[in-house]
Amino acid sequence: MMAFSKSIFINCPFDNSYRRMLHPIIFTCLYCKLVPQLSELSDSGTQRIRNIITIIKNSKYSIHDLSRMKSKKVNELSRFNMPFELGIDIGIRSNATDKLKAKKCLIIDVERYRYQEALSDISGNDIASYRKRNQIENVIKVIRDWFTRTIKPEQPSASKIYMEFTEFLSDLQESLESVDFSSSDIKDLTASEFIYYTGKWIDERKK
Amino acid sequence: MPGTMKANVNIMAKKKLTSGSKKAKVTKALKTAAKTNTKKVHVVKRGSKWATKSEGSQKASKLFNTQKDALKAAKSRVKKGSATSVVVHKKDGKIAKRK
Repeated sequence: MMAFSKSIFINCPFDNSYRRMLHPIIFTCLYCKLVPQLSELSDSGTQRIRNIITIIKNSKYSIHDLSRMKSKKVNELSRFNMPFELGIDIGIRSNATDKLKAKKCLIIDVERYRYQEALSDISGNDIASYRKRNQIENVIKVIRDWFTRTIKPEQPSASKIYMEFTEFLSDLQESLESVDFSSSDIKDLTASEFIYYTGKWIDERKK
Repeated sequence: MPGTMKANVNIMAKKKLTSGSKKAKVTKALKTAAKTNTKKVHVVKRGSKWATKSEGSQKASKLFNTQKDALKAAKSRVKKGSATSVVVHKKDGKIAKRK
């Protein structure tokens, strides 16, 4: 099991449209020496929630993306998984008497103050927005900046992480193509594969 | 950071595309790429602008107002021989094209 102080729970949507955000989040965490923990999609209800609670308890840090609190289309329902799991995280920390008291979480959204209308109870937590424009650079920056406050001030700059991220994506695509991955195979790379390859690349890069 | 990147990752999807020898080959190619400077020039989004960036460098070489201008400058570097090829990135960092 990965050390509590090195684990970060990422609570976010897992659909294809969110992948463009998930990848820089994973990369930033790994680049700053934390290991992302993601919940598994395909478990049955009971197992899934148990699994999520276990992950939350095993992770000192967590990032909760609430951007899906608002549906995008008419008749589309909002997604409640993320606020629900944020609630579990805060509940675990609030009732803790041991190391879980040290848990830290960052709440992110696409808009800065939208939570005040939808979920005002979370005021007082670390909340940041990655805004609508330049989301990739912004999400890297808000996470990296949060690490400087919660882990240690000495972290790689946001620009450096972003530049490394773009170069990694280029190297990853070429490496996958070298074993005959099609563009759709590359697009469908699972989060676990992305984490694995990102870790290998960063380890080598920093040697 | 040895060890920190290893397994113990809770997976969000059961299906894995890479396994066995393919995974090893990809890992080997990636490790080599991480350490090798191939003199490519990357065109990447930077805030409201576009930048050219040399492979291996962690800073933008130059900023441009449009992707077209950045691409033109990158191609010019290839022509002059200071770069071997151009990698154009989309706004999300993924590869749009290689020239």
